[in-house]
Amino acid sequence: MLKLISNLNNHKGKVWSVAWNPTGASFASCGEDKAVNIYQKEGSSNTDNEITEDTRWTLAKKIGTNHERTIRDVAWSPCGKYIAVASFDATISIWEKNKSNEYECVTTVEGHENEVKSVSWSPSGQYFASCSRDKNVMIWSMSADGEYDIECESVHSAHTQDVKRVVWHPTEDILLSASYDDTIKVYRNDPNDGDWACTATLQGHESTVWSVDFDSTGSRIVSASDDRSIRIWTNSKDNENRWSCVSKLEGYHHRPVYDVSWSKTNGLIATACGDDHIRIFKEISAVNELERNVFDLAFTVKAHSSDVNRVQWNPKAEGILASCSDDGCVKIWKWIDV
Amino acid sequence: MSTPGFSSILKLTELDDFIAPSQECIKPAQPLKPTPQPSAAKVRIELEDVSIGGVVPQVPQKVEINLTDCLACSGCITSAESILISQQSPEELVRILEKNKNSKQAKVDNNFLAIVTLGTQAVISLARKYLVPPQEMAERLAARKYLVPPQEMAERLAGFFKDLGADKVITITLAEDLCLIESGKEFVEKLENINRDPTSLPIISGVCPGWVCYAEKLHPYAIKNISRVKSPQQIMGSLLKLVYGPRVNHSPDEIYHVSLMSCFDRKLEASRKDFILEEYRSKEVDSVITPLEIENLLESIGKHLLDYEPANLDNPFEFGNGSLGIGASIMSHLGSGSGGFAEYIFRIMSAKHGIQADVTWIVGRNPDISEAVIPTPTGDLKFSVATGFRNIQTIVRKLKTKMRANLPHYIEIMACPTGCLNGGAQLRSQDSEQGGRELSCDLEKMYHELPAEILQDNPFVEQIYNLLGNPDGKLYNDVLYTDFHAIEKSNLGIKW
Repeated sequence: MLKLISNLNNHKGKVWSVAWNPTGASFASCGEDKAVNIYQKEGSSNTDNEITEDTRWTLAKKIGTNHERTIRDVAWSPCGKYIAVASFDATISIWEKNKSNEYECVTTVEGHENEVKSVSWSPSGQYFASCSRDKNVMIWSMSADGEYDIECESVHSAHTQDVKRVVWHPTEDILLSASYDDTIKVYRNDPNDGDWACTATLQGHESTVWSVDFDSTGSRIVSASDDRSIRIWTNSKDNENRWSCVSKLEGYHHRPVYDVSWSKTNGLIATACGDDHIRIFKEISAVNELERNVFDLAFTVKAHSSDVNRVQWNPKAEGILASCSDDGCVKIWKWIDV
Repeated sequence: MSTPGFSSILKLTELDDFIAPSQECIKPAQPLKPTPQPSAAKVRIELEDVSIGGVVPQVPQKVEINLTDCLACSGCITSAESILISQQSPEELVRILEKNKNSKQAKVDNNFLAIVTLGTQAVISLARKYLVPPQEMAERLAARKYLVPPQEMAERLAGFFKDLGADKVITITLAEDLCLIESGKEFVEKLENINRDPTSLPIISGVCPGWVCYAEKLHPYAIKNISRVKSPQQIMGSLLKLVYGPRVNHSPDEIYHVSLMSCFDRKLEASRKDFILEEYRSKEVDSVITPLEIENLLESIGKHLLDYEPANLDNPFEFGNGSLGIGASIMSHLGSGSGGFAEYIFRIMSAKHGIQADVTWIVGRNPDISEAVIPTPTGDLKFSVATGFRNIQTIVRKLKTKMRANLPHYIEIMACPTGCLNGGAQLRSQDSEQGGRELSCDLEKMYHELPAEILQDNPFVEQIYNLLGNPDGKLYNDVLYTDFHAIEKSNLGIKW
């Protein structure tokens, strides 16, 4: 079961996203109030690094960004030093904690034509990706030799509609994008060509794909859609660019599924739904090859009083889940195996 | 908006903003008050009243759309795009040329001249596909046995267009020369004035309409750094209509100028208000046609380019003893496959500093950007060739920040990755295995196999300058320079 640990009400209006710091010891949230909140473990004592169901979380910093519109997504760099903030005002700002422990904006990235929907940092830390209603997925690199020089590495107009989410592979610089055009696309860097290429398109969902995530090995993808289903995809061993849908989980969600997160520590899948519920899916251990990729609904809870916009598993502490909602709350949960 | 033929940059910026600036969808010169209708408000689009040969072209003059139609779609289809394209459609071109041919055959004096300018990159694209299979071509080139294929293609195209009804078919080299010379002069001047106005550098080439439209719409702060020299297409247009025309007793609207180019962005460029000769209600370039469209056209009439006998290329700028050589051959320029702008300016600056070395372009962070440097006593002079959207993004970003000090002094920007040889309306590879980049490499090899133009050896350049007169005068500036305009974003006030 999912046990509620903290209920944090520090935003005015919808909270659109939560993102864990790579260490798992803090997280950021963002929303309509154009602020980014940074939360930490309560009473972070130096001796106790473990995060348990008794760990409480509190607001550590409120960054009143200068964004002119809603902040839709926030992402930490793998080194934990930078936070990328994506706004409906078509810009992305990059923040760094300075010597006085305050966050300051080191640079603003322009390039998208309209609302930026998502931003995500690559596992190598070399790139970050963004996507927008302008149908583009853009890949950027930042050289931080004192100058915070942003280079545009690649632009992809592969989607035919609004792109909702960009997510990276857990260990390699492989990118996924999810779109209003009902597809998911995969991008890889081709050193021979000197450019990134869209290497695969995953079709099958009957409506907008709101979010995607990889499993811990990066060999499977889970996707969440407006069509109220989530799907599992794998690629073939002889062609890593050929993905096929191996499982469709339908009938569980009563409204669009807005986010999905595949825990890299315990393999559980969490979903955020427009019916205010969070659902946890657990994979059934397969006896043979044919029985792989079968998931059972392990738990469901009415988590918020409105649409759940994001769910994200803590990258380090097993079973800790963050969620946020249109109801203005950010909640931290602990999965307890019963 | 997935119309092929345009550069990828234009596809993202939505064409309608360029030609339908007003929410009333009516050209600003003649505002029409919408009469309130009981049912739905109606929106009308009117075209520029441009006449060709004294006759207003046969395209839909007024299109009425219901407001409900407007709100239902996400890209006002009737504005701009389809009207623009229909005005410059191959069908329209064929119709006009045929009419000309019929008049001339019937010996009716229509005082009409149809001239086609062949863009070098487009010719190369067609040559690669139509003339010989790759292996045979390599052999031919190696043995120098026959005419270099692009030359033969240019002459076959001359035969093709003349068969359709064109009076003259010319190459674009002369206009390219003028463009290079002026770009050089402009750069030297800006460099000399740099202490007075440090923000006047970098200079960024303005010959790519994809880049220009993108900057006007999304990065207006970059406009002051764009070179004001017109593109070769437009220079040729005004040369033909304002310099050549008068010499043969043709007013601009009695000349129908078609240019064969590698992308649809050039159609947009040809329609710019700045390139309409207001007095005569005539455009410098009346129509742009592309390899993709020629391919479709040939298919629709069931013919092959090789069905047409090659014809000699014309030289309308024959003066004095009318020596040929230039104007009768397809030629390349040293440097990039798009026309060698950065290379040319590098060379003249090199010469100024007394350095006699070949240009070494060093590839940068990706294959589509390269840089070359001239070391001088007062510091390095940096030049760059950058193509493709990601590099443009990086450059405009830097322009806005204090990083602009690190930018090269001259930047040649082309919207299409690798440049005009990879234009949006070039022919795709027949070999499905061959990637876009490989094809671009092939085309670039073919381009550089062409005889390279040596500006100083072009006798017509001097003569044209004599005809253009005073550099401060109207003719000189009309022919060689233009201005750019920031485009207001139409804000419908929708908040998501």
